[in-house]
Amino acid sequence: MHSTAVRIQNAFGFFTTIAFFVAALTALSTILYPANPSASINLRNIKVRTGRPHYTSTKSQEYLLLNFDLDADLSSLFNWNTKQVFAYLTVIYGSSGTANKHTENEMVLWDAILPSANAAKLHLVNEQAKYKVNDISGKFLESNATLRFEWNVQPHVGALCWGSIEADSEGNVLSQAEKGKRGKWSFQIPPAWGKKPATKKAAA
Amino acid sequence: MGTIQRFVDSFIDFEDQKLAEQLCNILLILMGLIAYAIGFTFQDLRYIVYISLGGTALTMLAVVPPWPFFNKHPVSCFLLEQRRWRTKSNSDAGHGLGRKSWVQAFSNFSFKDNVNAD
Repeated sequence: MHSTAVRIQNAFGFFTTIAFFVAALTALSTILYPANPSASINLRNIKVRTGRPHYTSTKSQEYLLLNFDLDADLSSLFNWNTKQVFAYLTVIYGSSGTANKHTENEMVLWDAILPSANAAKLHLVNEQAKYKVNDISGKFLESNATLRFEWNVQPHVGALCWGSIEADSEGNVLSQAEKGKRGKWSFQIPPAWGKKPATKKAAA
Repeated sequence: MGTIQRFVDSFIDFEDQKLAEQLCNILLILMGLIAYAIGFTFQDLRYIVYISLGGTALTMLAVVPPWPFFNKHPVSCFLLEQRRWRTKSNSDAGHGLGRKSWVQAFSNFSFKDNVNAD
């Protein structure tokens, strides 16, 4: 501390150390705010159309287009350390036949940035999916699909964390039971428009 | 050049260097605690940021410039050397024996006196 330069350096260096510890305490304080988000989805209209990836290509691809209703409440995820919450909807479908972990595909249909607790109360009616879903092979082969609502909490300081809500085949939300409200979360991808069903449905 | 160097160096004596370091550490730790406490009470991170920046500025103001209270234990062991160096030139008006602080002893020292006795 013998000269001005040394005193400035030491003071600023210790300030950065203190700033690191204060930031660590802030990040740890998020443990005090447990969250219970909820969501329910209802599928409205499922379409599969064929198209081309771009104008001059010869490959024909099937695209899945969806309309859905979404009622979600993510406002409990917001505390003083939350900068924004990124919510997104993924569709998970397996390849033909058995669907195990290595043949499952996930595609994001729709996403939204929720910058505050007010914006986190979502009530969407007949919302069109933002992104088309297409398979790398170009065909869906009418596999079974299900939707999953996921979110990513982005804090001001600290670690990112993710969460999701899924439902089983009857529409019971797996993370918490929604009494009396049973939306449609899973479906079978229909054949492409204008084409015949590839798999014969069992007598229903 | 001498005044610039004196301004940049701003030497303080040894005992008060310890005081300066202790003061710097205590002030910054207190600033961190107060900033976090106020931020947590109001549930807003902006309080933490502004109080931390203001507290750092206050600490720099208290510790960096050579205030008079950093001059409580002046070191006067260099005066004899100074007298030996300065016998060549006659420009030591007002410097004799007696209790002078290390700051004042160094403030009249410049490299020119030692290297080239012009």
